[in-house]
Amino acid sequence: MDFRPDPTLEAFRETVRVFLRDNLPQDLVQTKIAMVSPRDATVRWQRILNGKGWGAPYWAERHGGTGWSVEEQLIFDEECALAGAPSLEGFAQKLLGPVLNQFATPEQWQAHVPAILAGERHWCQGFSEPGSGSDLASLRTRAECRGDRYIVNGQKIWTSYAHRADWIFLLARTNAEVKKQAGISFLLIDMKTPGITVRPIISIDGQHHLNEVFFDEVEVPVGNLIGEEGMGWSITKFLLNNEHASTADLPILKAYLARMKKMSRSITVGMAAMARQADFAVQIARFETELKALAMMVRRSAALHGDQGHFAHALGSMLKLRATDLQQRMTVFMVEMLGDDGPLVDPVEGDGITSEMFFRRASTIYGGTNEVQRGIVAKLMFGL
Amino acid sequence: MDFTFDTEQQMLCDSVARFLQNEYDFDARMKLVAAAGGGSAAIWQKFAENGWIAASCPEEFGGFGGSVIDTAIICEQFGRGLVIEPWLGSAVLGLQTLLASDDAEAKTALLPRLCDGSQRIAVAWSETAARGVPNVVATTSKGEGDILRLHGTKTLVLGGVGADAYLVSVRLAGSIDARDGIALCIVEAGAPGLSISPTLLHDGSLAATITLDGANARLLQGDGLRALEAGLGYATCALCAELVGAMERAIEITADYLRTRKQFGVTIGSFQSLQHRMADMVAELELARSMLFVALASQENDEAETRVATLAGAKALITGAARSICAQAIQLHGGIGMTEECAIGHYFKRAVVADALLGGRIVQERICTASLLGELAEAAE
Repeated sequence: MDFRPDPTLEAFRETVRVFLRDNLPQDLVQTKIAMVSPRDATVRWQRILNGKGWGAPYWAERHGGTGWSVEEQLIFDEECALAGAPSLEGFAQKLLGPVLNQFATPEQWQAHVPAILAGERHWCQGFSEPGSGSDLASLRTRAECRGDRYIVNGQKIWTSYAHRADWIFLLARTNAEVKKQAGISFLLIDMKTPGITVRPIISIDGQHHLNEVFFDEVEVPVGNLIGEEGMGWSITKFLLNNEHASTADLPILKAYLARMKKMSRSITVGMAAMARQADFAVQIARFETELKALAMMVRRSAALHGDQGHFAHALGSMLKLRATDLQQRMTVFMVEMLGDDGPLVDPVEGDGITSEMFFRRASTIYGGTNEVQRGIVAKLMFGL
Repeated sequence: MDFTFDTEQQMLCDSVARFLQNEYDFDARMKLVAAAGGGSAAIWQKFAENGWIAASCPEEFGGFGGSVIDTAIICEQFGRGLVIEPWLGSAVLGLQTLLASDDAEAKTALLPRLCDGSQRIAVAWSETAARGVPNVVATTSKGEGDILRLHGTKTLVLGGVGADAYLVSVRLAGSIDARDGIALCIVEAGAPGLSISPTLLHDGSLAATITLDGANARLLQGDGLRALEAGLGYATCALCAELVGAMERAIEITADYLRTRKQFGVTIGSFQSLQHRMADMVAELELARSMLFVALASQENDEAETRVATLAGAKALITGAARSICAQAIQLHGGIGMTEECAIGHYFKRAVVADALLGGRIVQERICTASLLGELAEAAE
């Protein structure tokens, strides 16, 4: 156990800072809190990063990535968030990319990864279905093999950003005769294929992030199957295991804290700014402390990357529990800070914050509900 | 950062765990609690012989030159075993406050004797009105030069019963809460005008109220408040580590109970409501453990101002977690958890006592808030 600062990491941080200062175009800098940047901003930023050789910050060098350690990845994310850099295309970078690197044939890898690195191909994830939320393995979308094609029929739901994605990676049932987990396969599908319909779902924040995606006799070349038939469930477990340290959305939490502090200086209550009043400040100070603890928890989880043990897995679920709870409480408090502006659709102060708070109700539902996570933790940690 | 123990750290951890298992199990501990003596001198000697008191003291003063991490490793195990010995007050706060002072003579004379267990000191710093704020000092002095006569009352002096000497904070100048004008003095046990009244705490440990009525004291060189705050910071890390160990053990005990206790024909651990509660408890523990690491990193790396605010946040968060987890642990035990003979209630008692030690949550949050108000005011300029 050693908590002394690592000079090589500090040097790395400086390298990232200098790069951002010199290469992040001012018109791409976002001042608002936003989970996902506009597509064109993400594309331009991806090209700039790729030009530097940083097109895949989370992947090993042998897969065309930077080969950064998890500590370095966290520093990169943190500095990018501080500088207001656009978001990366997370589905490709954090979810599909590692799957392709691990399971794809050389031809499949070549067909997709260069396009991802160049920012040309954006992805969405087709997992959930109307009847299969927490019980994902019960999914019913079928992929029937006919010669050199799969014929896909079924429906996906809660598909984030399907309306701006070029491709979808999805789970479909290729065998109904075996145990439910064993009959699932992992397919890549071009969203322009005939028979795919995307229908928007407007969420309670009034925004369009979510969609329903319908598949009606959609023809998919058999070459788009990743791994073998029936491997979909184990690929999914691999994919979700890679996700843990990032489920905390630490850069967003840090952005919330910065926003809170900024608001406390600009909002006046009575005669003085909130920033001068201890009863508001004590609440912000509590969030700041909790965020410090959570950031350390993220580092611990990241340090266990690749560890397949019970504790490493459970810590990821615990991180999700604590981080999503904090996201919700911080956004609720910011709405409280807004006072009379809080309930207004077009507020004078705090534009978008109330919507963000509404959107954050999803945090404890997506990525495995917090109730599912609690079940996982109780089982892994205590055998209950 | 490295979150895993190296070989030496693992050996230290194992040696403390072994001692607790062999010589300080729950029954042995309850005998010590029943004796109401705040532990035993024989056990203190074992702490010294095992090198634990000397672990985080520099070699030049008879120690092993370890860091705050070594102290934390020992404390975490002590927390698991609910050790009632005057460890925190004497081996951590006493030794580290003296070490942080600028008085080379006192350090050279006393620190080796603390390390080898031949002497034990306590720090008399808190007062009724101070509530754990070290710069609130009403104790006054008379006299000139290095020898003073002290007047005042010090409360919640950890390890104060049976100590060989006391480090006492005293106001030489300024208003009652001024940061300037505070010195530390050494008062020998048995000095005329010094009276010690033992105060039993709810967790079975012993503190003391100390009355100074013209007791003779020798002034320590240097800024007393700076040394005291350094010692308190170290002790805060130690107490946080202890509570992390206590929470961890309370959760283990509760998990064992859920796996064995049957109701409605099944083990109660099969109920989802209890499983989810356990998941929330262990998630809170791991958040608290993460905060302990933040505190240890700050203690090792940060300047005083940042460190004080970070440690205050850590104390507030970790004692809050300890109270909530140990209270939940009683709930999950049901009626048996309310009994003295069941271990779990004693973990809750320690958590409650720990909040009041070294400044309670309200005071700690006030420190964090003041630091944030300062930062926000600076940003506005």
